Amino acid sequence: MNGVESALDFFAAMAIFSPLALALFMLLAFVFQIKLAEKIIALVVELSVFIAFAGIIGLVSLFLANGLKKWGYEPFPTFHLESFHFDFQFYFDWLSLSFATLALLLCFVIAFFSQRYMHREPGYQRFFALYSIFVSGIVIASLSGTIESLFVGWEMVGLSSALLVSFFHERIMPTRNGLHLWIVYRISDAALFLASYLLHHALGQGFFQTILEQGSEGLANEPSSPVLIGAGVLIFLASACKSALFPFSGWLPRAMEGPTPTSAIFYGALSIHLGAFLLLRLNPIVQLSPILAWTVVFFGLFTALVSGIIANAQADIKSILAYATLTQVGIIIAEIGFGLELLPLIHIIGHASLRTYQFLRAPSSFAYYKSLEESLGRTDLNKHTPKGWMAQTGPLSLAIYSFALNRGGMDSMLEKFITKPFVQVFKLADFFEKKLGSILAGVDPSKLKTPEERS
Amino acid sequence: MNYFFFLEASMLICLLGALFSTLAKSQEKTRFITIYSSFFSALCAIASYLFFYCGYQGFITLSEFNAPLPALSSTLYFVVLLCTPRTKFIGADKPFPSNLLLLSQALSLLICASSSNATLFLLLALEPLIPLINLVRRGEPIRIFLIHWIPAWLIAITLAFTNNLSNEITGYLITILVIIRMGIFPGHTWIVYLTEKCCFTLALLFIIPMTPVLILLKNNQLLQDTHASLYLSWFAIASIFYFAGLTLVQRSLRNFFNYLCLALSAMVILGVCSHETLQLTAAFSLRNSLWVALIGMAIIVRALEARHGRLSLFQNHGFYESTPMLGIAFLVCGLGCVGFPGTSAFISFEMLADEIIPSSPFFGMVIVFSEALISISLLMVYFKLFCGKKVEWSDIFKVRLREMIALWIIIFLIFGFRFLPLTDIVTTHHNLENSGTQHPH
Repeated sequence: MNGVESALDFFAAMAIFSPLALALFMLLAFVFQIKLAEKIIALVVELSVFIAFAGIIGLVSLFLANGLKKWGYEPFPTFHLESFHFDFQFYFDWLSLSFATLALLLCFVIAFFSQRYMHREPGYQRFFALYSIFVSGIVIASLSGTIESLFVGWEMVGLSSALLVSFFHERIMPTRNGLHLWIVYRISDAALFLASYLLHHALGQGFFQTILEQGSEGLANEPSSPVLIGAGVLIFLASACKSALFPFSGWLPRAMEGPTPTSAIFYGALSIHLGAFLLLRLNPIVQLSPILAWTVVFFGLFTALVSGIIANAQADIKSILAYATLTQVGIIIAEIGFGLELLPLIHIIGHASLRTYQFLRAPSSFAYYKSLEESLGRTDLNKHTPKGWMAQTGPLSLAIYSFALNRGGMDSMLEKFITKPFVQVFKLADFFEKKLGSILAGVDPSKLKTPEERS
Repeated sequence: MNYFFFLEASMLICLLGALFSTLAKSQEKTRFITIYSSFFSALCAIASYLFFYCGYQGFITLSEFNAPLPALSSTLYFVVLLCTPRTKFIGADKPFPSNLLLLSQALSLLICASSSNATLFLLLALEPLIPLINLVRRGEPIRIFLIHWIPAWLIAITLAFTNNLSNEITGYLITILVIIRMGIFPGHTWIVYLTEKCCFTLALLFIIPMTPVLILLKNNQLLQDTHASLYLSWFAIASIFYFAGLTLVQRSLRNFFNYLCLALSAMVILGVCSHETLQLTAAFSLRNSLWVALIGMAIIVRALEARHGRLSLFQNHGFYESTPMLGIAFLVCGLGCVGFPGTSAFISFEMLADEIIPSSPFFGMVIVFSEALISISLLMVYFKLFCGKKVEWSDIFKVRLREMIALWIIIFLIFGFRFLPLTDIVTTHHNLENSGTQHPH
């Protein structure tokens, strides 16, 4: 191994293991109930995210200096047993490095912001413990070289997101919203898991490098290309859930229940783009079938259109920003569906940076406007009236307005047609279970009821 | 001295402990005897495992396959007893069945270490007597228990003592026995009743270890030849989905826990219904990981009930602020149950699904979907128990040191079980491959 390779491995280890070490440290402190001082937490978090960021910068510098285009890093040997293998590997190319640089830069900024924003918050340590899991997850997901390692990062991001949405957990609404998010994310996880299996079945392994090198033309010549198209459909489903595409958009405004820094980094910048990143990473599979590619374009554009309309009728700044984010994400997804690579990446980077700024400014925006008014000596900034179609009172405009106000009715539609019937079936089954139990036990059904059920 | 000496000592300590705790005059003494018997028994079982690992061979050979099991079983018994509240032993309305627990521990050790098929069937017939005695002592109706267990006893005793049954009949009898013992749909009603009416500690230590997995592994070839495993796998897949769905609609914490155990047990059984060594390895490894995670979950359920009585899932309780340790442990155990990355069940789950999908894509999809349902219901219950309400802190909520130690051991096992010697997947696979297949007699 020459010097450059050693340096690459060293920087890769810095980028990957520093957030993991942080997550482990925070978890151990939590498990052993060690209460850490705010200053120590802030120092440890900033230091470890900085080390990871420095690692990524080191990698980028080495790539630029040596004209490298890709580099694989395998920290652990492949787990191999008969036909089963689990490859925990990382792959560095311009896509993964760009996304990881963006992720770590924003994570560092948010860590810095949060230590003041969360000051004296009772759940300060819990916030940073979950934050550290999120950072580890996003780094693993963005740098992963196989679908298995991406799945690990994907799940870590999902869990930390759900728990952070319900961060203010003494209130009921954040927990409900956290659960809603978790349900959608679990559908996404299940789809990704099945996609991972299909990829293994079709190609014998899940290395991104092989997929990227073969390209969609090469993959089309594979005898198992129909299986790969199936994997593509599942990958799109996983991405659609993660990126809140229609009809899964309902969780995005709900996710704003969490603390502002998490709204900024998860739902404005990183989590929401992770689905797009996955599609971009596995674009050769998406492009394998024109029908799938056009489906991606359609859902992207449709989400953009619907979110654009809904954003106009929202009353709070976080919801407006959430739907505005979704509009851009829809466009990014459509760009990926068109087979573009560089444009969606630039779009992701620019959009994520802008939204992080906007979300962080959101709580103080009213104060900002007030100070603007005072400095200008005008009050007409308050006299904003709806323009364009929002100002119309015709039946079509009202219908659109009502649609936008109800956020497209997506949540109620999913609840009415999927969740409710499903739960009702099992409630009925539970009722019969109790009946059968009381008959077999030969006791009065009310005696079999638990005290809480009786109450 | 060899590992077998320690294994025998471990069982003997339990049996003596059971005897002395029965004879003890005060409740404080009973508690003392129970905890220390369990502790020394666990120490001996761990010593037997270490001696085996270091290569001290005795006149009876434990295989690498089952050497860690007595140690794991004893440790989990000890952990459960360690965090049993003092009030359960002293001054409770219904006396804590210390002697029955130690008897159960001795039986569990025997099951884990036994190599003969007939012995296993006999022990399987003896095992349910312990919760039955407890039900009788408590004055609870036992009809539902007997309706299920009389046929199961007859089958187990027939299989233990009869040599001339045809392979087909043996295969189908084992299937029925497993369906009843494991609570596979439709033989599950008694389990729900048992956890409701029997001593919860005793019931959970009876249900969670999934003992029949050993029988299915031993008789794997026979079950394959007679297609009994095919029928069992259909029952198992229906159970997984049905119980996973039922976890979503439960309104009582105990019932939720019941259905969680049943869904996960059915998943293990589905894994064992195969002749592929890789799938059997995944199922057996998964069983050991789930054993730990479910015991952890049961400890938390019991700790919460000890503080607040039976818990409803109708409303939010907000226990996190008063008992954060229990909240964290609940999440960790829940993640251990669904094979979250980093936990010991992760690779087993991946491997199991990976093996099942090619043989039956439908089964594979049901498993993945059910696992998603279980994880949703776990987080839902976590939010119900630990969030959604502000509770004033009181000293009674404080998690005691013993409970902390028990939970630390469980958390350590959930994350580190795979790294202990002989407990990794490769060793299990190697031993399953070498052990080949056996016929019952």
